[in-house]
Amino acid sequence: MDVDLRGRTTGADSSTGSGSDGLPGKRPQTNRLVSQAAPASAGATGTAAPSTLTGPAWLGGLFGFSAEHAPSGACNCAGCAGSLPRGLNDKEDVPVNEAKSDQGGGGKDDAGAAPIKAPPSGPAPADKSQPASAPGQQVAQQPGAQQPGAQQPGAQPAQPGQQAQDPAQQLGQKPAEASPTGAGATPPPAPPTITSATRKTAAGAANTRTTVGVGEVVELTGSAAGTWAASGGSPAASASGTSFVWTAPDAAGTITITLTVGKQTATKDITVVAPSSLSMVVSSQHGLTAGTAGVCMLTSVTIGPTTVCFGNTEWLEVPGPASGVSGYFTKFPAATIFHHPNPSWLQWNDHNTGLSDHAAWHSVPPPYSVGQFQWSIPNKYRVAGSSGGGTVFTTTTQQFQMTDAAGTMSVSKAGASVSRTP
Amino acid sequence: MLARLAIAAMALSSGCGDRAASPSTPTGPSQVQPAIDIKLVVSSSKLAFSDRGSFKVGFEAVNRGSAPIDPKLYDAVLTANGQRAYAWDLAIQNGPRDDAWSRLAPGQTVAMGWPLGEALFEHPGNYKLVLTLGAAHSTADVEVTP
Repeated sequence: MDVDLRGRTTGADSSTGSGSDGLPGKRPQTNRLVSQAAPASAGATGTAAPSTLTGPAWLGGLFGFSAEHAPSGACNCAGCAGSLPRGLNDKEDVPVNEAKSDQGGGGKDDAGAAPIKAPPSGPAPADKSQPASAPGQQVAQQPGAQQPGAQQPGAQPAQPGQQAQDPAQQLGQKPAEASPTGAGATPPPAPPTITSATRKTAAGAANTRTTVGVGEVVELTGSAAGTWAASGGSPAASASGTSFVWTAPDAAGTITITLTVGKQTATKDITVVAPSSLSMVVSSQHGLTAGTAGVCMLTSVTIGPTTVCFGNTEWLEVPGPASGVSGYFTKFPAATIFHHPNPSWLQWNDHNTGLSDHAAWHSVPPPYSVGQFQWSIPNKYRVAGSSGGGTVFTTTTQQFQMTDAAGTMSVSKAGASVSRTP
Repeated sequence: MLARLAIAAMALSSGCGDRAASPSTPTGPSQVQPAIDIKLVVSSSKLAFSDRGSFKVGFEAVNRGSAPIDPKLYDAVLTANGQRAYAWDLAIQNGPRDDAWSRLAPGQTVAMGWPLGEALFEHPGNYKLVLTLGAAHSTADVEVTP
């Protein structure tokens, strides 16, 4: 920040500050924030000890107020000056020597100091180390605030010597209230924060993960009660409260969850990922008739990525024709070797498994010869309970082969394969 | 829970046949379990040859016993006028499965069907479909008009 909490620009050229608001009877503005008891330094922060300056000397030293009230004429005592337009004489809730300047101004009347910079058009994030654009990171900001560096329409940069406007006033907010002594001031309320936990675990990731699967349920908790809103998923909003149970949408993307407490907000970005892979491992085989060609494998199927939970997701294979038909298998009409998978959607368990796949042709007629065919199988997912047609996320290939005249057959699919000689 | 076979104008077969009590062997074809009732289900008993693409055939199996059982549905064989329907073999022996497919709870039903009309009916005529699972049989007569 280049301005202190009273709207004065630190490090400004004091030569231009002779009662810059033009009010009569005021001493030249010093832009000085020096405390006699604890001189401000470049390192002073909002957590510094309160000022020990008290009484008329403090007022006069800092604001140019008269120590004594003048019953007639223009009076510039602290009490009368309180009726002046807001700005320098407005109330504050931060001790005057707790202002922080990035320029090390701290009230120094440096000759040749940097020109006054325009006040920011919007408040900076509460924690600059956590940019809002980073998924999963949390940023508190004022409602309607623009991104740092953005300029409000019509805003003009302040010129050297120009009185900087109170940033709080620029935002249409009530300026901070002052304590006459600077002691016992009420600090501004801490910005709200959001924590989150997924209801389901995922391999190798804590439940505080901010990358979730489509349809996953996330429980969000605010540091204070407020209203919740989500840029996607459901619900889109909720009544005031400290918790928000949210379900990820059925498509990948980044969703922003917003908690609004009074005029302050906190946001949390959650990355939603869709299924992207299927993998199969042979779990068993059925016993087939000896002497008859055939092949069979039952596989355990895993849907990935496994770093999220797809327990609220369903799977469906899409029917389709055979391709690459050759040799032995050309004896079958296309309608016979068309792929007719399970027409029902099946739901994964919370470990992205729990479903099996049967890839087999138990008994094929002789005479046998070399040949093959394959199915290219589009695989769809959808969130459980939805009525949509689903989204294709990967295509697997299931291939049957007969490798010799003895009827040796093999079948392969999604990384699993078996072979059998009759 | 598997969805029941959704077939419009469903024409059920005459029901289950005999139940086999012989146990399955680990190296040979499985036999139907005694507690399983299986029915052949077709979407229509009469259809035009040009409508074969919409004809669906399937099954419905119920565990009438008091314990969970593997119905070994992959061993069910369908014939059309005595000819083995290999399209049925490939349909019932391929695709994703959930637990109910291999572990049917007492009273639970598992059903599935596919559009196999083009594979089953090569010409107009009358077809007798027979579904066999172990010693159990279920039949359906279908007329395919020119």
